[in-house]
Order: sequence, then C-alpha cells, then structure tokens
Amino acid sequence: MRVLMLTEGTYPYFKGGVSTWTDDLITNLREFEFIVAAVLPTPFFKPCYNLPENVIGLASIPLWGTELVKEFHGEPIKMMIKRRLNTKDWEIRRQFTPHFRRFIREVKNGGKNPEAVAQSLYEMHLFLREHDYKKTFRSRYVWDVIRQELAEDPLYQNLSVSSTVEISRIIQHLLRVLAHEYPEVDLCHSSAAAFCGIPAVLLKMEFGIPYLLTEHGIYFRERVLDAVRGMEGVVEKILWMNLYRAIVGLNYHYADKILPVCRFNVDWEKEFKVPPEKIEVIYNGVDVRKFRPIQVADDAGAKRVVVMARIDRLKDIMNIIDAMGYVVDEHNDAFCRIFGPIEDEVYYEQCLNRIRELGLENRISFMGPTDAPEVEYNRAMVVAQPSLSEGFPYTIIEAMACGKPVVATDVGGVREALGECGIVVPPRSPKLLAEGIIRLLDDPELRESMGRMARVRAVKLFSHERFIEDYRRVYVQAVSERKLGV
Amino acid sequence: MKEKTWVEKVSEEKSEWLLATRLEREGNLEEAAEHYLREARRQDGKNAAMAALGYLSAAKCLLRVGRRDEALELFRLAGDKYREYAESTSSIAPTSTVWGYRMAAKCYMWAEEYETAQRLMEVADSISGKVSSEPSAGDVPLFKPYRGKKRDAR
Repeated sequence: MRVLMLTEGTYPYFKGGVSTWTDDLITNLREFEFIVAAVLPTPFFKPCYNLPENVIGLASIPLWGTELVKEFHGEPIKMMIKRRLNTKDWEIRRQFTPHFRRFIREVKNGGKNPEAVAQSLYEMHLFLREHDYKKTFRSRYVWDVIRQELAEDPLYQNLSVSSTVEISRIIQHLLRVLAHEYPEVDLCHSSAAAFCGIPAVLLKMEFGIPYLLTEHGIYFRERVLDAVRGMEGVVEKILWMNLYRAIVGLNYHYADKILPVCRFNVDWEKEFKVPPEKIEVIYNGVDVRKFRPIQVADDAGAKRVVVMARIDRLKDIMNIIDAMGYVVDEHNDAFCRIFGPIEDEVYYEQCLNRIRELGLENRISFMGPTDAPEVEYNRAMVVAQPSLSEGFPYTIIEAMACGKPVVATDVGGVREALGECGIVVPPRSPKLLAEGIIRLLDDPELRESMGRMARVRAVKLFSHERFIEDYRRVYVQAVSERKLGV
Repeated sequence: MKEKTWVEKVSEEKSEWLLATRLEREGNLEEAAEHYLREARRQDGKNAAMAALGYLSAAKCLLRVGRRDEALELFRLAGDKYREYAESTSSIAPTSTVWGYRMAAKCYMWAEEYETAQRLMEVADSISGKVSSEPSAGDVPLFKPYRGKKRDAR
C-alpha cells in the first residue's frame, strides 16, 4: 500500500520533533511504501535523514528560491518552454482569474466555506498543471483581482500599496503547491494542517483518496503568533490570519481523520467545528529501552539543567536564560546546557546578548545537536522545557523515560504528558520556571520520586509499540473505510 | 530518450495494491480480486491487518461478479486475519484491538458465521468500555500540583 507523506519545513530536511516523528513512523511501518513530498523554503537543502528503504520517492516543493516552479522535478526544459509559450493572456483571464478571485474572496472571510476554497484551489491546480505558473501569477489580471478584491472591501481598503504588493507576492509563493502533479497513492498523510496538506485535498477531490492529518503544534496558533509578532498593521494581521484560517479549515474539513498528538489540540480543532468523531488522539511514543535511566560517568552531583530544543523563538530560549539568572542567585554552582541546532541566527545572537547582559557566560552553553540525547538527559539533574508552543514534545517524554524530573511550560500537550509527575509553569514566566528548577535542585527526594514516577508513566502510556500500532491501524482503517465503507 | 518527472518515476514502481485498486475502479473485478489476493498472501505473516484488508477487498470484488462461495470463504479468511490482528495488539494498543475485533465480527457476519460474529462484537464492546486514550491521573501516584512560592520581586 502506498502513502503520500506530506511535510512542511520538517522531514527530511530539518531536525526536530515532527521530523523525528515522521522518520520513526516511516521506518517502523515497513510494509507501507512512502512517497515524501516536502514543502520547504528554498531548494538548497540536503536531507539530514537517511531515507528508509520503503521511501520510494522524495519530492521537494520549494516555495522560494526557484525561477521556474518545476525546475527541480526533472521536467524536461522543452516542456517548460512549451508551457510558457502556450500560456496566453486570454486563458489566464478567462480560465484562471475567476477561480483565483473566488479563492481571495474566501480568504478574506477566513475560509468559512471550505468547499468553495477547495473548489477554487482545485480549478487553479488544473489550470497550473498545463500552464506556466510564473507567467500566470505575473499577469496583470491576477494583480487586478488582488487589488480589486482588497480595494473594494471595507475592511481591507486601507491597506497600503506596498502591503498589497507584498501580500500578492507571498500568496504567489505559498500557492506553488498547486503547480505540481502528485502521484496516484492509496492514502495521503499530512503532518500539518498547512499548505502541505493541499495536495491531499486535491487528490481526495480528484480520486477520492483518503486523507489523514496529524497535528503536532497547532499550525493556526503558531501562524497567529508569527503575525502578531512580525507584522505592522492590524489589517495586514487580519488578512494573514484569515488566509491561514482558510487553509487550516480546508485541511480539517477534507481530512477523513484528524490525529492530534495531544488533547490540547482537540480544543483548537473543535473551534473549527471539527466533528468529534473525526478526531483521535495518538500520543507520540518513545523507545523506553533506549531512553532509560543509565549510569553516566560524569560530574555526579553537578547541578546541571538540560534543555533539548532548537534555537528558535517558538522554543523561547530567552525564557530559560532569564530563569537561569534567578536560579544562579540561589545556586551559584548551577549551570545549563542547551542542546539543539540553531534555526534562527538573529535570535541566537539575541540570546547570546542576553546571556552577556546577565553575566551568565559561564553558566549557559549552547552545545549544538547531540547524537546521544539519552546520555545528556541522564547527566541532567533537572530537564527544563521553556517553549512557547509545542505539540506533544519528545523532549518531555524522553526525559521522563530516562527517569528525570522535568520543569516545563504549560503549552500544547506538556501537561498531559507530565500528568502530576513534573512541574508545569505558565509560558513566558522565567521567574516561575526558575522556582520550579530551584525547588527540584533543593530537594533530592522530590527529584528522585518524580523521576521514578515519570519513568513508570512513560513506559505505561507513551510506548513506542502503541504509537506504531495505532498508526498501522489508522492507515488500514482509512483505506478500508474509503474503499469498502467499513 | 524522454526525461521523466518524479511522478512518472514513482508511478513506475510496481504496486500490487495500486494495480488492484485501478482494476477495480475500471470495473475489471475478477482481475482486481486476483491482485488483492496476491497482496493479501504477501502480507500474510507480516501484517495481519493488511492481509485482512486484501482478503476482504478480494471478497467484495468476487461477490459483485457472482462468485459467492469463494467470496464467503475469503470473508471468513479476512475475519480470521482481523481477529489475529486484534489478538496481537491486545497488550499494546487497545484501540486497535477493539477495531480489529469489530472488523473481524463484520467479516464473519458477511461469511454468514453469525455466532462467531456476535461473540467477537461482545469482546470488542467489553474492551471498548475500558479503553481511554486519555492518560488518567490514576495511572501514577499523585503529586499535588506545584504552586510557585511568592518571592520578592527581583
């Protein structure tokens, strides 16, 4: 049976929780053949995972950094030239812009009618399969649609020309997923309710192929955080949020089954009016034989706080830096090791500056990624997780499986994972995060008992076998329900 | 020689299941059933759920072309495989176990083995009542939720 696995900004080009999940799933479901289609920022990335043998195809869909949309897909140059020459202005005007206009109208109101969003995307996809993407989107007819639709709308009419141009430019890039063809498969599985899910919607519309959606972090929530942080005008923010709301709603509507990694996500999905019977929580699983309490030859008794997170704003590294300022006031021999790749160089520099401001240069170290996380967890006295947004973080359940006490922010599925055998504090609260760490550093009995219980909980509830078996079942179930109605 | 796109390349990879699905869609049911059976036998011993789905799909095709006796035999085989799947997951993934028993019950019903079907449905229901995907507080000894101490402003 053949599965199209859809990813965005993750597997196999970037490390992180979603990539770990994808790799684990594919590696362990060997009886299925996978084709991976990865949406990524530019084509200049190399896979950082060895693809398992059951991956029979990998296609990258870069949103930026390519002059011609299909140039990395082995399409013959002759075909590209022919397509360009065959794309006539009148075709764009008559066959493309009506659907594009419908799409923009739906986006403006947050995609309240997902079937209309889907139909417009499908019609655009049919057009772009045969016509040149760049010429289409550079056409004045497309620009006219954007300009008219925004200028005529009482809410959006005050957008500046530069904002309108920027919006047009970004939408043009985000919709590149529409220009590609996708292979015939038995099942589509997207790892986010994002643009990467659009091919699954198209294949469902065209061939009735079942679509499974796993939701890790809440894509909509993360994009809202981006918009709030990164955009100037209120109207621009509203438009972006409506665009993402439309795409997320589309994915939720067309997915046959939504598989959030934690119950926290379910509340967001219900906000989008997803019927409860479509939702099944499948927790991530951890290999409890690899992640277990082990003796490590190291500075036993050192007050080491370990953080496993990529250096990224969403992980709120600044939170642990500030928290360590408070911790060091109480325990001047405490120190923090942060393991993870640097995703955001600017943010990394800001973190370094903050460390210097607080005089913590000898107390906090960025260690880069590690190949032996189980060893680093075991070296920790306390494991901390300072993040702003999470799905069901591996770092928590791995630390639990290693029998380590965890202090973490109350985001995503963290509270569900820890239950009552960890300390949960509000996000963006370095003082409370520090208090949790200090409490554990102060109390060896509490550390020991929490760690022991955490191990029991991880083994019992978050086993790798259960995780794999549940996915094996939902794959077969989705195909049988679609094919046989059972 | 014509260059191939990635879609063309992956589409060339042989897949018994895809072929069967395509044949079924085209209305070539007898041939589709053969390919489903081939896939079911390939999966037998590896993945009971996939094998079951293969037998079940083949049975449905044969039923539509009037080969009723063969179809009933395949429904029974599919039921056996779903039951095998349910039993193999009982200590690992209870939700999958419930699904396996329910599918097995349906297959036995189609195979006209009503008593077995009823018994398995009862087994599924009895497990289903105990399954919750939510970790309950009772799974581990309880700790009181931590409340941060009030400290002086720094």
